[in-house]
Amino acid sequence: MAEVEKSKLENQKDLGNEEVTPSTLKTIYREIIHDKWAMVSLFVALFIILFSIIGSFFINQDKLLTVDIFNAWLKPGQAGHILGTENSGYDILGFLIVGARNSILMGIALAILIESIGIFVGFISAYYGGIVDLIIMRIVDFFMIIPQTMAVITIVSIWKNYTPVNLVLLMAAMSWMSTTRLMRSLALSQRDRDYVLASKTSGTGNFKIIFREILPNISTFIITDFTLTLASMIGFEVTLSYLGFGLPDKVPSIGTLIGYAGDTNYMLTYPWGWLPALITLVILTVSINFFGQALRRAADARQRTA
Amino acid sequence: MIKLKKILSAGVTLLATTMMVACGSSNSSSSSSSSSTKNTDTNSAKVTFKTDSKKGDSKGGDLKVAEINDTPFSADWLPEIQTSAVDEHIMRWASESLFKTDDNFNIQDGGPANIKFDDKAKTATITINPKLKWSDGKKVIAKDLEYPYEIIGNKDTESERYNDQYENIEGMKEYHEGKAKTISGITYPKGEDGDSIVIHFKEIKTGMDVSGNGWYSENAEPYHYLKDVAFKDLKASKQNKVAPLFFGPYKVKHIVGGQSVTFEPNEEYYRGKPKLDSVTVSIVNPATLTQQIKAHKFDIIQVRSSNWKSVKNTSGYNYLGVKPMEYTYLAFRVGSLDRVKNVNTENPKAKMGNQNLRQAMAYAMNVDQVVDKFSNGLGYRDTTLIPTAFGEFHDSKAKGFPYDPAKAKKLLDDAGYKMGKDGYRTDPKGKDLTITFAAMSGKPEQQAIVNNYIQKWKEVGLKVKLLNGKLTEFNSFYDNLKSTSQGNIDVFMAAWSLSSEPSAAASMWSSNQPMNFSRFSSKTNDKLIRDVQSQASATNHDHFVKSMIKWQDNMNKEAYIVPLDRAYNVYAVNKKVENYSRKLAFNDYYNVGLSK
Repeated sequence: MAEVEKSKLENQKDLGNEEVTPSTLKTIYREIIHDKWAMVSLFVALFIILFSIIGSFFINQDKLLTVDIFNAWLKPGQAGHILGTENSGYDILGFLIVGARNSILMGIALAILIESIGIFVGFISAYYGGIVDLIIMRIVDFFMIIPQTMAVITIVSIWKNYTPVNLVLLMAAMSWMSTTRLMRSLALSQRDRDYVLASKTSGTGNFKIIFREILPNISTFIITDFTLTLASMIGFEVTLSYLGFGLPDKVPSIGTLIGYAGDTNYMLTYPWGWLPALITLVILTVSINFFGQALRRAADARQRTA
Repeated sequence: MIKLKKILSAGVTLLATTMMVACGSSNSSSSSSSSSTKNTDTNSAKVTFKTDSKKGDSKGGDLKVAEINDTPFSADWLPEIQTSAVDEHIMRWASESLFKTDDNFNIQDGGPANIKFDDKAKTATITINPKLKWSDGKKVIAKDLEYPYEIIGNKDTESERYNDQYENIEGMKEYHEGKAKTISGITYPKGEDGDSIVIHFKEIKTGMDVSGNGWYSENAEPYHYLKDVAFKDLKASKQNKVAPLFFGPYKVKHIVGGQSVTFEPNEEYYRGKPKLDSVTVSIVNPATLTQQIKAHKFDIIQVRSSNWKSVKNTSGYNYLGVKPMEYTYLAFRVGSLDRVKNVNTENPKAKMGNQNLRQAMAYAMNVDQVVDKFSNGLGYRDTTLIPTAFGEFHDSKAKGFPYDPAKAKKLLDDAGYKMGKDGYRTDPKGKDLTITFAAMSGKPEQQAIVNNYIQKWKEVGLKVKLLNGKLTEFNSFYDNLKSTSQGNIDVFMAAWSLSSEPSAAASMWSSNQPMNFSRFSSKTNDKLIRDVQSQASATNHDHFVKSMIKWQDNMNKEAYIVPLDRAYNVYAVNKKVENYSRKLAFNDYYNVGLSK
């Protein structure tokens, strides 16, 4: 305990003239600067995300998705296909860029949705407590016992002509629970703080207290959870597409390419079909996770390294 | 094997191919045969296969057999109810046909039962082998021979097998319509417990002495075991799904739902005790096939043409092959089925009712190229609905539908399908035309093949969309097609296993066949089929051949059903397996052994 105090004091000494309690953004910044892996990860993740989003503007999707079975499974480098072609003769590089963009955008959309639901429901539950909390938490429990992937697969397989937006909503409906629980516990820790009680006594509205006062106080946690949710949601979408229940046909996903590894014949004969997509996915999710870990440390003073 | 009747093929394992061995077929049974890749008419040998494993006398051992399918089996084990070839393949170890045949499917004496025809009296007498017993030890009696007709004929069973061929038996129609309690055309000379029945036909027909002809049942059912189950409950009953009873070499020990069936020897088998201790048939997903073969997980496993390249050098296996026995076809859904009268009625306003449109769609497909790309030299395009394995019954002059987009465009222009500004044609009335296409999921290249065809149709200006935007799983695909209403499918790609008798391959497309999923009804076609089945064809072989060829030409002209492609059926068989054969008429499962 004494050591902690000591190091805190040293920290304050290092800070010199800066204010004693740094702002959230500054904490994050310092944490990332301090951790080289987090820095590299951030750049790698941003590079992949921006490259796929910007790159996909330069790809003619109609042309990309023209079936050409005579050029199916061309080796990398043949006939101008840098990474070769896949089963239907689609250019793998182009498919990978558009697929990565789709998977990432779906991941971002899902993360935003899940965080929004989580914050709203979790905060309401924690702030009002009592019977409201009880009911909401039982609903959360109910959703939690539904096997997420199986439920999505079952619904998708009977859903006719679903769109990517439908899929996002469906996946969000099956994945909002753990974030909601986290948000509830965070809000609970704030609910009985003095500043909340003071606000209440002076007649501030409940929603204002929740979203203007409690929310900013735990924003670091939200950013952290957002990043980690993003990585896991990209993984979820890829899993679904891999199993053949994700994005509809003709909407590329990284998972479709990785799916070629599901057939042992293809896996061994045409490694260029699934390997680039797999490497991209691993690098992307690992770097988002590394970055997310740094954020988590920034959010929790006890874990900080900077 | 012999009872491979018009079963819905598991389009899954080899969405291609049909084999069908004709009575007159030349070398279907010889130890090697050949396939051609480009030209169906010249059998230029590119790959050759043996059909038989080594001989031997080993006893004992557990044989593991794989059945390639990407969905669980539907577990309809009674032949009268069965519609999936997967179920039929699995149950071959236990369910044996009543009649012994030679390699060309001609019925011989000496099997579980003998059949004798009397042309004058128009009867057939079936006599049971005195040694024949059900696997529960009860003797097979005359009533057991008759009961399949009741199952097929009773309306409550809703059997897909009931069709106008059965109405050639006296009293069958009356029984089907509920006007009679028994089938008057089946009599028992020595009583229901005797050893024979006599079937009275209205006419003696073509091919009645060939197995798979469809004019009578080639199975018996244990009446004592099934009598307490009402016909309408039969399909869901334990007697059908869980514990079927047969007189074949093996009997069911236990079934793991949808996944595997384990058999044990039937001690009561009439040809002596089978050699193996057990046989397990498991469903294997085609996606894992290459590894299953390389890891030697199974003793008998099918090799799909797309996997052929990567497994052909695996040691420890013999590769046995047979000429194709199934075919894939493209069909146009144009009508509905009246279940009571068993008549398909074509809808005059059907989207695909236009002959030019149908032909154009067929000409726009690049079947040859798809086969070249995906079959590794094991497949080829079909030109008619009668495969070459039928020998002279196949119309060797027919060209089928080679890829010809220019011709397709001309056909559409002629019929008034005008090209719109968006690159798609409208129907002759000027309305938008969107065609719904249903195809089965299964082999990994299926999505690519289907997208390829959709794109080829787009190139001639036809807007074709996949049903629900995706491939349909095998079971729901056929549920969709079996329905009596026209439904929302316009075009579909399916597959058939054929029976071994050529006229049956034609009559399955008549307007009173529930299995005619196109639901088309053409007077010309019905007339030609009647000619195929006529007394003249039965007595005059040349007339039979000519009528078959006329029928094929007309089918290609009307283009309700478009033949697509076939591929060699290749099986990897462990070198230790003895006395096994992939001959189409192979039925000596009791004799299969496994050397140490």
